[in-house]
Amino acid sequence: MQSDAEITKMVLNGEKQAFAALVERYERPVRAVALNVLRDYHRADDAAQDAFVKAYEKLPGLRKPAAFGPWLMRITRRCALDSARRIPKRASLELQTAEEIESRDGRLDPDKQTLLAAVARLPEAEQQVIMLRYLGSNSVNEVARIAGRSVGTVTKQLSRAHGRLRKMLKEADL
Amino acid sequence: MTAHENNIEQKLQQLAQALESQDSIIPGVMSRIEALPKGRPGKHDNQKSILMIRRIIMNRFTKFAAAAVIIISVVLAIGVWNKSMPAAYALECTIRANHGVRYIHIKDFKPGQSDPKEFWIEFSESGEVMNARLDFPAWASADGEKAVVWKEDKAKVWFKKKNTLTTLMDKTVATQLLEAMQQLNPRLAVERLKLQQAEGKASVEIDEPADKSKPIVVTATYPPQGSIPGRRLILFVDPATKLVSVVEFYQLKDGEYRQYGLTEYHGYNQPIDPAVFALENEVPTDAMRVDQTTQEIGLVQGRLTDQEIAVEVVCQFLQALIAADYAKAGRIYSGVPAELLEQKLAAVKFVRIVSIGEPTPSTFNDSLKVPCEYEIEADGVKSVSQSGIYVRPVHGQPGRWSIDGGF
Repeated sequence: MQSDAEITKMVLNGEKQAFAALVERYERPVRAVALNVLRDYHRADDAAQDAFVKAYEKLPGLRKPAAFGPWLMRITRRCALDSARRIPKRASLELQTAEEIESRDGRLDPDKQTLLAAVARLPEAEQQVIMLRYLGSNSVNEVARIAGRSVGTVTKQLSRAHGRLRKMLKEADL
Repeated sequence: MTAHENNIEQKLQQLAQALESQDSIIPGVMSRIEALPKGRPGKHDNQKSILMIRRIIMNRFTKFAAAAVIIISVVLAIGVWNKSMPAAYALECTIRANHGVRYIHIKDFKPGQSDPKEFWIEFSESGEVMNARLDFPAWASADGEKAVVWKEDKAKVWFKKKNTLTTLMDKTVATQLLEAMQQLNPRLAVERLKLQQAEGKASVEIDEPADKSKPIVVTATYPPQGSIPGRRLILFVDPATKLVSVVEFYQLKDGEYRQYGLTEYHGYNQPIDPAVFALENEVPTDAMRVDQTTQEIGLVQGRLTDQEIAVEVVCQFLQALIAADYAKAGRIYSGVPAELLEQKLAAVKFVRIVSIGEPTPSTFNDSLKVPCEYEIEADGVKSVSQSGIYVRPVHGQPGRWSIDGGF
């Protein structure tokens, strides 16, 4: 499995299709970050797409390719906030589809929303490993490889993140 | 591994499953990337200089602060038509086609919710929105149950839960309602459907029963490969007046069409009681009244990022309280009257800011939550309070941000 830094370099060298690997890798984390802001699956998907396209366009400005994940999350948050502020009405008008029927109104249930909000409050490095590990369904070894960190570091970060999440969820009575 | 860790892991896995049900966005992203003018990511030679400028600006603008926002969203269960016409032209068409409609009452239902959103609209003879009232039940509004009346680019919003009446400038309500009228106006609706059918974007079936007491049923189905795949609308048209009375909204899912919305149109051209458009009679006398049309609310964002302005707003707000400058604090706090703020905070003296943390997106609207700690003194006792203060862009005052909600 290639690291983010390696794939990023390939993209910058003109291998456009390599970017698809990054999209696949971060699809769910990006969607989760957008969903945490927008609370609507469809709007989150739109914002997620915007974030990936923006990240692609801005890739040459990424000074540390190994930091692609947290950088992408920041872009996503920004895209989602822009979406929330600029097109609340139109997006809401157009985005009531089948998923809304299943989850009543297109949103996560409150417990999952609280958990997602807690994940979003984690420090960037911990947020990245949590998202890659659980939302991306990667093993610890794979997370380490993707993020360019040692397995020991990732394990510690996961453990710390678990602790923080436990505390936050306890505060939220979850 | 402890039971607690298991529990967290389990919750995270459940969250992952909830997110897994979506279709992949990879094809969409890659096709957009393919469509970019350049084949490769853009080169940003000026990236460093931009960063440098931003840092300088940040340092110079640390005195800038925020404002308050109240979003009014009409949000009908509509907007399903292809927007093939330019917006301005489409609205012009609507205004013309509305000549025959002076009054309308709309109810918008959603599955699982008993109370609909309700809208009352009065049009001028030339088809423009003159008066509007929008009632949102709690499920339809992040602010809780609220009622909005609109006239001449000015809106009054009664937040029932907060018992607050806010008056603000607004240019969005009329446009949204005119867009809504595009959907329901029978002439425009049928024209659009015919156009879409001619373009192969939708198939339209019209069932006109011989029994004239039964409605004409117009069914529009959008193909799976179209711009609104799997969507189906069923319009019920009154055979006598040829006006749309009900629209049902369906989405194809797992081989069957499931209803996700229903909009009813009542009271065509039945004059609406002027009292409907006058909130003052309904708002309790003890409600807080905030007028944002007579003052600039919050602070100018300038070239600060959203996070930076959010922090600045909180910083200046707390500084104003420390200086007992309630006029300034009130302006930053959504325009709350200075006297009221002073009265509410009479027992508390703000001593100093201890810390202001990094803003995080709110989980319920477009605001940013800014964590902060400040020292206060009450009854001669000093203590440090922690708050999460919500900061949002000011509705109707572009480029300004203010505090929204309590702290």
